[in-house]
Amino acid sequence: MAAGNKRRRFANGPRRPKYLASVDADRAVMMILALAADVSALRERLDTHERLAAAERLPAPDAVERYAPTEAVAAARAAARRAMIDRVTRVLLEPEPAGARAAGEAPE
Amino acid sequence: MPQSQHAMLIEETHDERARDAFIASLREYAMSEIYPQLRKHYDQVLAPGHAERHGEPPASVDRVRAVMENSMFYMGYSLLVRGTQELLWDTVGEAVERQLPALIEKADALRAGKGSLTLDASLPLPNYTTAVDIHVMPGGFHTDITENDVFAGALYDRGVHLFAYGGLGPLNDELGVATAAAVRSQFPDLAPGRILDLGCGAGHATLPLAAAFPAAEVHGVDLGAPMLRYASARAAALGQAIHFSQDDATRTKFPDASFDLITSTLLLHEMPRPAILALFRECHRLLRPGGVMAHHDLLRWPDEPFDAFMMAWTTRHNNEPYERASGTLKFPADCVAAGFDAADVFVVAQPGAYLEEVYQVSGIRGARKR
Repeated sequence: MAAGNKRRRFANGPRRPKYLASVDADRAVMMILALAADVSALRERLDTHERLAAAERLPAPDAVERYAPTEAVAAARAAARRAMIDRVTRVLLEPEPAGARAAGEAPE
Repeated sequence: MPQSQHAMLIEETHDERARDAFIASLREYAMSEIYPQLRKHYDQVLAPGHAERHGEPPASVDRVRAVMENSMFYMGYSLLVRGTQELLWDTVGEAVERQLPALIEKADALRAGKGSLTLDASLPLPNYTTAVDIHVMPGGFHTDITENDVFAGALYDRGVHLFAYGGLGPLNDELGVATAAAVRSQFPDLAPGRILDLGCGAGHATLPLAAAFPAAEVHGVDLGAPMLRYASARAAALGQAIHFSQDDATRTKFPDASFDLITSTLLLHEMPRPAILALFRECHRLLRPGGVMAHHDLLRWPDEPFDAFMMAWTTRHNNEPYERASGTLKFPADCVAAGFDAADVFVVAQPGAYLEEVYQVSGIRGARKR
């Protein structure tokens, strides 16, 4: 039962469905999502630094951790995340043009 | 909407909060911006394309599936949502794991206060729970990773808040609040002395019952020990006295006629049909005359092929294999088979309580025992 406080990182159950042309392509996209979350966190950390600087406070690690965004700052960050997601996912979410045969659909 | 801090909720660093926020934004983007576009794209491009080639738009769920699974837009959307789901649990899981010993210590101390916790390590876990980790949440609701573990509860409490991008309210309790309100409005004369919440999980829907019926003794049962340990500490942290016990909702250890109100919230859709029917029979056994069972979940399953196909997304992609069973229950027949009278069955539609883009067909239904 006890596994030394180590969490499991993959769920029990059926194998992950295949989405793109290969499972490796799917894995790469999922890695990009994880990386995007970290880039977004880095952006917000930089934003915290700049806002501390604007308030003439030193961005020491403690001050960064304690920084609490105002509602306006939180809204600006949400808008920045939304814009970044839009850029990152553009190609993944490309709709087929009208009249195009769906990719992979067998011709009659 | 930010989550309300309470003593059991994990504490997060600046960067953990930022990663969480990104994941909630991904969820919101996919569900509120992209999901509605799928319907439009299907209506305007995919279905007419099918009609051009086959003489009619897709007339069955299988035909819709053939069209959609060849659409790079739909498959891209599906990968985005599945990928976000896995990322969500791994991201929150990292923060929970980091502070797990402190959380366990806090839980032990809080639990010494109000309410109670009764675990049963010998309780057999049904195969439908252990075979699949629901929601792709590693370990599901039942896996202990250490002594006195609260990992699953801590993970779910933070994770479901991000999943719903805040839509369950600051305490993740809005569905439970709606359940309690529906019971009150449907049965204004009901003054429950004892309430049981089935599949209570972290207690998100259990605490609103205690708040709505302050005179009642409130119990919660669940299969998962780490959920219950967390739930009991969370309830104490929020000042509520709840009695949590590890039990199987389809055959509990309570004696006959123990309760005046029995509820469940988002439980039925994670159970196969035979288990749901057993749960209804168990409710009938446990209720006192005049008592009510009320289940908050899907009310129906769409007939229209595209809607039915999209409704089944979570079945295939989010490890929720039994979801269709709850949407296709026969009311009142399935209640009658459990011992209730057809005239005592009730339904309260509650569309839009949760992820309204997807769950247009949810609400509270159940029956009153004669």
